Amino acid sequence: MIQFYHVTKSYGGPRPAVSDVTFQLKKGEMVYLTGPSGAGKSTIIKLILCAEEPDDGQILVAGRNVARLRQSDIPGLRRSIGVVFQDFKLIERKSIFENVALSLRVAGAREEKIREKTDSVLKALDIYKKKDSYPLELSGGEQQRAALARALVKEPVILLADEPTGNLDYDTTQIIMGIIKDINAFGTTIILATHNRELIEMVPRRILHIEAGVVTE
Amino acid sequence: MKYFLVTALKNLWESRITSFFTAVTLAVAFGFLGAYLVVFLNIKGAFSAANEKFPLTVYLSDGVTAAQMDAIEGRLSSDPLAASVGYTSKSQALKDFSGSDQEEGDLINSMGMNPLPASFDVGLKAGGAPGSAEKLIQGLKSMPGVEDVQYLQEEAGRLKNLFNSFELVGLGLGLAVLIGVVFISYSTLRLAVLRHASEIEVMKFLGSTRPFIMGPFLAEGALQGFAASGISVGFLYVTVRWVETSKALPTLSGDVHFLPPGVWIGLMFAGTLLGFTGSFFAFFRSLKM
Repeated sequence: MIQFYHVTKSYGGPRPAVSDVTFQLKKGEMVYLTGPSGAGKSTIIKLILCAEEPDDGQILVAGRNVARLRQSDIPGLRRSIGVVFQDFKLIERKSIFENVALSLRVAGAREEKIREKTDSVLKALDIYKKKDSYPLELSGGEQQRAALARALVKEPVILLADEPTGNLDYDTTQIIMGIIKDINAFGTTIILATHNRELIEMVPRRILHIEAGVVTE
Repeated sequence: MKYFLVTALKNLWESRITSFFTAVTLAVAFGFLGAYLVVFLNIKGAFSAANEKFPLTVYLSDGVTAAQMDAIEGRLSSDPLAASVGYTSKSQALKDFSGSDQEEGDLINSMGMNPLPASFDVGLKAGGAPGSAEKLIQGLKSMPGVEDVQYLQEEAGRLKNLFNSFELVGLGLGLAVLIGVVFISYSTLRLAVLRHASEIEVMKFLGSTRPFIMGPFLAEGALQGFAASGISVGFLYVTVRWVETSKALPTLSGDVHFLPPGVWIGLMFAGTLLGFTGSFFAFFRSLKM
């Protein structure tokens, strides 16, 4: 599902953000991308999302070579990937319903379908009763569930989670990890970037460790 | 489309103070252009009426035949420059002359003959092609039966030059308003794009296409342009109606007309289009995608 072949990306610093990275993820697989802050975890996620271009190497995502994608094809690829960020990145002036629905709206879904699927995912993540609230009225755990709902409503084949529990307490982290485990059980390929060892103990999976831009298993 | 409009209206409401002052600024710019158009079109109307007061007079020879007269009249009637053609016979000319100047009339009557020629009086349309009146005069002079052609070219020419200068001023003003409106829309919408930068970033990660992200911003610019031009057209209408009926301006009352529907609708369309264009530039300048 995701393949990196000798990928290098530099931002002009003394060392590349990622250096000669090679790994593969099968369909439905879940891996942890671990390593300290600044190790290159977010760069890998950005490369998968085509938010950055590699200086060298090849990246295949869902069978598509991202280096060969035209600018106009990038939104299509991103619509097949769900993303969850540590700081949730919910749009503050939109209600929770509108934040989640936006994922479907950008894909041009019909209003009826948007309402049906958004309500359904909000109920599944137990946040339906907060659908008319605004992000800042919610707790951190509720906001992260809303962010997960936004990522999942479009039924992505890949879920990228960048420190999804970084701002949450232990109990809420357990709930979020439970949801992520269930999503993976339904066949979604997941990359979860974290530097928190507790998560790996909660849901043990394959680990890709990145340090100073170099990936080891 | 509904999503774009609803989002644009929400954006405008959220930044209502900025939106209000932007709309007022744009309305002032459109107001200048609209006021110019009102004055220009009213002067054009007055010029057209004034041109009728400088008729072209074709004096006929005393021995002119009926066939020659028909040919001359036919030539005049078929000319696109002629608005009206009237015939004054020799006897009518004498009668008119005697009526206007009793002393001179008596003198002519004492001569026992009528020295005044018959003539065609031609009213000319305003806004003819340059040199078209001159061409008509030369053509008439070469026709058999024509004694002379008189046209108050100098007066008409002066008036036309004045009118042309006014047209040039309008062109300059129109261009200034166009640039001004695009710049104001551009600046306002650029701020709006920057204010929503993080939101746009999220939309990009969700897989939004460029038109989907741009849509609400373009709609916002178009709505502002539409509102501003609407305000200026409404304000102009009220002002023109006031001038028309005002007793304070007795010399203008009744003679001033509002813009024809095609012009004020065009002004509002231009406002919408310019607002749209300004926000289009703002988007590309502020957010490289």
